[in-house]
Amino acid sequence: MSVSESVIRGFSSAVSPLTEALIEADSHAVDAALRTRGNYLPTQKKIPLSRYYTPEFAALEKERLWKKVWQFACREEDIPNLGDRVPYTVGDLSFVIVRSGPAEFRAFYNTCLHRGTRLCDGAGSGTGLRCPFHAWEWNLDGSLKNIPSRWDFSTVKTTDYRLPEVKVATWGGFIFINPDPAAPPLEPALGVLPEFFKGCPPEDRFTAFHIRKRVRANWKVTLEAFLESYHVVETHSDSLTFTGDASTQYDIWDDGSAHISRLITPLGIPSPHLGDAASATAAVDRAFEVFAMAMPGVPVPKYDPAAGLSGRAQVAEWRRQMMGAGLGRDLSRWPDVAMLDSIQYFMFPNFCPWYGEGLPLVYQFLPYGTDPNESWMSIRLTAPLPGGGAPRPPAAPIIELDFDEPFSSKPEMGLLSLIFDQDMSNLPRIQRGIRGAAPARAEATLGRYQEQRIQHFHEVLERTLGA
Amino acid sequence: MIPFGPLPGAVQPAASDGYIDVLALEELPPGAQKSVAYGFRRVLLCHVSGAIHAVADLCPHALQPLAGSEISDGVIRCARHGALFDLATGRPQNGVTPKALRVYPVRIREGRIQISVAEPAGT
Repeated sequence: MSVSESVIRGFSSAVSPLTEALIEADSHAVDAALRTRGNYLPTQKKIPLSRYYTPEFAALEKERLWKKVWQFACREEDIPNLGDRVPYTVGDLSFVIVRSGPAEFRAFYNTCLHRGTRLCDGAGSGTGLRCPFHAWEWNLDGSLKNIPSRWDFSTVKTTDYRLPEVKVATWGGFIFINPDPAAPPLEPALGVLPEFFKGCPPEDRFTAFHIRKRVRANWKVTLEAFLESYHVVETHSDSLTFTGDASTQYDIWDDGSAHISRLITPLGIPSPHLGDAASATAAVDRAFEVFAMAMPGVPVPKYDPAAGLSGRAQVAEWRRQMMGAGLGRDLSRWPDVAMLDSIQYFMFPNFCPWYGEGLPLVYQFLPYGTDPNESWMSIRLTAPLPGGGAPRPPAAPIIELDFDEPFSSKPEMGLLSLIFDQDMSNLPRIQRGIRGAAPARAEATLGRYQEQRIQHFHEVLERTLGA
Repeated sequence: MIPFGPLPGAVQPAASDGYIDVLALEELPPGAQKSVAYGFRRVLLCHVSGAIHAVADLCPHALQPLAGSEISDGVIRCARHGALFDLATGRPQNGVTPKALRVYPVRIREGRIQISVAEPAGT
């Protein structure tokens, strides 16, 4: 189906235009990437709910998805020094990602070749990979280094006992792996991402905050809750005064090799759901307040009708100045849309890098353990590297949140913790509801425009699984 | 570097006994309710049957604001999904959520409403 199908692309109000119109009205030049619209519209189709909980579907995903596709594992800065390593665990599959040279990364199955012990359970470092059970040890390049009581393993040839390795590739400081030995290179799977992120290079950023939450919902339920802004009207009703939820723009790029999608949710305008009489001024004032939260003690401006700039342009300009000074970076050329709005890309199957300074996050969604009713969501907040030749700051350590621990238990997250807790309050409910659906109606019905990224995800998933 | 921190202009703790001054009593006439901020939390003040109640302006069911919800016989009904809470104790009054609504101790000093934001014992 082509994008020319008559699809209503969002809903606006007298005071809340569509995102495309806001980009047109930007006070600064907007990169071509943000003005480019998608080239793909998925076929409309209901989604069987069984795929969110059956062990059979999870087993299919393990064999045909997680063992076969390029997937975001970690960031280079997570393992900054030679010998640093982190586990990357997908359900019951696990890999250990190692910095094996100054700019070289390798990934291995995270299992000892002796009796199968997991080699790496958390971030660590060392000159070799050593099993905690009997001290079998491998060099950073995967070659066998040492077997205690070597005389007792006369049949073990050193060359036959390299750690099984999987493919590794990087883009923008992100490390990807693909366990399929026959996999094509990473680059075609990245699609438009390298071109579209030229204006905001991920390699020039670092992980300033990193939290990982265990969720009682299938990994796809968790992922899909973050692919649309349709849920804002009910789940984040307290954000409606300053969030263009229904006016959000959605785009998909798919060339058969790369499956990329994007949403742009504008801030500093009222939700179109609030009607034509909603206060545009209050939306701007609230955006000032929300962004001021990162800077306690800084006076909070208000909309100035005499400034000769739109409200959004005023907030964006204030952010350019405040953030530019704080970071020692020149942000004067950044468009309003990149200073204010939530611009979230998605790369199949589980990677969401955000663009710009509006909300600079990175999401990763993974199955957790062997229960398809549980998942992991990792959230990073990134920041630009400091200017003026300052050294690269270390990546923030991972904060782990268990199933019942709310984000609000981490007060340093401020208002973001409430937003994530609102999302998290839904997820176990969705999972329970899905499992209890009427047999004749056990399928999801997706919005044609606002939920097209979920539709696209399932289309690609079905193709990948041959299901 | 966290983009969202405490609400600006929010009331900060003023007294060593954990009470903060949030509103003039005369700004909350009988029958009125008003949401005020402290830190990044919001507190809903309600003037009901001669008593001032202060509860979290956040229904524990789906974490949505309670402000504007209907109050009857000292019980607030969340306008979104119908959870009922006793304003004096915070206890849930139906099965929408088993979680209690946080209640803040209130006192009146020189015509001002003050609430205690000390964390409840045992938390």
